[in-house]
Amino acid sequence: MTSILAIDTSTDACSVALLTAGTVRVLQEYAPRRHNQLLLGMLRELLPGGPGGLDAVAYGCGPGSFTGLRIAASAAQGICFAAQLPALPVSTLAAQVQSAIRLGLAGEGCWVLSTLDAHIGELYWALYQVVDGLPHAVSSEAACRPEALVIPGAEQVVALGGGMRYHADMTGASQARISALHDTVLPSAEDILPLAEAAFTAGAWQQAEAICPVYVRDEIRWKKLAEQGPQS
Amino acid sequence: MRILGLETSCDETGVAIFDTRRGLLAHALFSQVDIHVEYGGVVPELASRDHVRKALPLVQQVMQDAATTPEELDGIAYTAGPGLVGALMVGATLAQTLAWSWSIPALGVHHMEGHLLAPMLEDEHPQYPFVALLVSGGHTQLVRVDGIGQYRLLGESLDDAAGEAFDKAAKMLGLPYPGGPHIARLAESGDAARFDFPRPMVNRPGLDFSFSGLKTFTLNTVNACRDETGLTDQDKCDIARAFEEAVVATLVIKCRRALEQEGLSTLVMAGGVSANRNLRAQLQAALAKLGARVFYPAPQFCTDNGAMIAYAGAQRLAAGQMDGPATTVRPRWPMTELAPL
Repeated sequence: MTSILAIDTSTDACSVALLTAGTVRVLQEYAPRRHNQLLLGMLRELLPGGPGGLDAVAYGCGPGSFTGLRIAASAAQGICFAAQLPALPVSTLAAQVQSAIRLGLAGEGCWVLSTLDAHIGELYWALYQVVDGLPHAVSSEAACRPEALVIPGAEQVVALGGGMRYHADMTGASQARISALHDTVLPSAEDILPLAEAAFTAGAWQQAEAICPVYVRDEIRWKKLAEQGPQS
Repeated sequence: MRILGLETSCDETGVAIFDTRRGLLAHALFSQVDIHVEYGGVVPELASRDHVRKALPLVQQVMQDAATTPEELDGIAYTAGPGLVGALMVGATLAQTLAWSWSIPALGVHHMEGHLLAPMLEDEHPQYPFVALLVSGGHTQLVRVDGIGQYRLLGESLDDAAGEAFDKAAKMLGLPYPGGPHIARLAESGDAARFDFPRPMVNRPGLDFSFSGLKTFTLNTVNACRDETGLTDQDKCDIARAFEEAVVATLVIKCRRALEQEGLSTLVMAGGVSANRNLRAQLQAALAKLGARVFYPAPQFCTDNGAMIAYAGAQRLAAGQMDGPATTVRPRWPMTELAPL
C-alpha cells in the first residue's frame, strides 16, 4: 500500500498528513509566521523513525504565501533528496476543493471556484469540476483584482477560500454565478493526499531537483534602477 | 567530524563541506549579483526565489566534489541569522529536513560568527584573543574575541554599514551594484589630493562608526562637480578615491584604537569590504607600526560563503551543540547572545 507524506504551509495554517496502510494521520495548527518553527516537530511526531518507509512526499506547491510555499518546497527537497523519494507537487487551489469535497460542500459534478487571498487587493483563483470525487481543473491558475475576475463557462459555482473576502468587489455577473460561498475553507495537507495519491498512481511525480513553488504571480513590485528617482 | 554547511542569508547561495581533521573538502557558491544589479540592490523576494532553485543542486555538487556520502556526514550547519528572513528560511528548512532524514544533528549558525571565523580556514590563522573588524554591506563592528562564542562588542556603526556606504556612493557615481569593487577600481586612477573628505567620528573617543555624513558629503561633492553633461571620468575617479580614502582611514584609526584599548596585537578582518586592497594595505602598514598582525580570509571567503558556516558549525557541533525541537531563524540576532563553547 502506498505511503505518502503531505506538507502544506501555503496559508496561515501549517499542516502535515501521512497516508500509510490506508489510514491518514493529520497534524494541523493555525500558525502565522511560525511554520518553520513547527514543521520539523510535526514531521518528527508523524514519522518518529524518519522518512524511510515512505513512497513519496507531496507538497502544496502554490499559489499562496511566497515564504510559506518555499518552506514546503524546501522541506520536500530535503526529504526527497535525502531519502531518494519522488515528489508530488499539488496545487493549493485544488487541495482546497478537495477540502470542500471532504466537508460535503461540493458534490459530484459540482463546479467550484477556488480562491486564495493574494493580498495587495488581489486574489488567486482557478475553476474546477468535481469528477469521480476529485477536482479537475477547468481553468488555469491566475491572479487578478476582484473586479477583473471573469468566471469561465455559465454554470453556477460553489466559491471557496480566502479570496472571497473580495466578493463585494466582484462584478455583478461574477456574483450572480456564485450559488454558495465558503470563505473559511483552507488548503491542507490532509486534502493534498487524495490528489497526491492519484498523481503517484499516474506516475506524475518529479525529482527533488525539480521541486519549486508555483507562485502564479511572477512579476515583482520593485522598481528597477531606471524607474527609481534621483539618488539622495 | 564532517559537516555540510549552507549559507542563504542574503544574495549568495553557498554550500561547503568541512572536515575537522582534513579541513575544507569542497565549497560551491552561486552569486545572485546579476539578478539584483538592475534594481541597484538586493530584492529580498528575488533572493529567496533563487535560493530555492540553487541550494539543493549546490548540495549535490559539493557532496560529489568532496566524494562524501550521506553516511559520512556528521551534521549540517546553516545560517540561522541575521539576514533576510525569507532567504534564511530556505536554507534553514532544507538543512533541517536533510538532517532529520539522515538522522544527524542540525545547527543554526550566526552569520557574523561565520565571517569572524573565516580566517581560521587558512593554514596560517590567528590565535585567540584578538580584535575582529567585521565589515560588510550589512555590518561594521569591532568585536573582542576571546574564543568561539566569547564576544564583546567594542563598537559598531551607528547608521550605515561601510559596505552600504560604498554601494550608495557607487550609485551616486552611476556605478553598478555592488559598489565596492567599482569604487576601488576607479579610485586607483583618482587624485588623492583633489578632495579632502571628512573622517567621520575619528576625533571622538570610542569605537563607534558613522558613515551617513560621509554619504551626504559625497553627494554634495557630486552635485558641485556635475555640469549639464554630468561628471567627467576623472571627477568620478577623484571622488571615488577621496571616498575610499575616508572610509579606509576611519576603519584603520578605529582598529588601531581598539587594539590599543584592549592591549591586543592581533586583528582579524572579515566581511565583503575586507577584500578591499587599499584597506588591507593601509591596515597592514598601520598595524606593523604597532607590532601587531592582521589576518583575513582568502578572497573567496571574504564575501558570504558556505565554508565559513560549515567551519563555525563544525566547532559548535563538535562541542555537542545542536538545534532544539523548535529552532527557527533569527533575522536580527546580536552576536553577543551566542553561547560560548
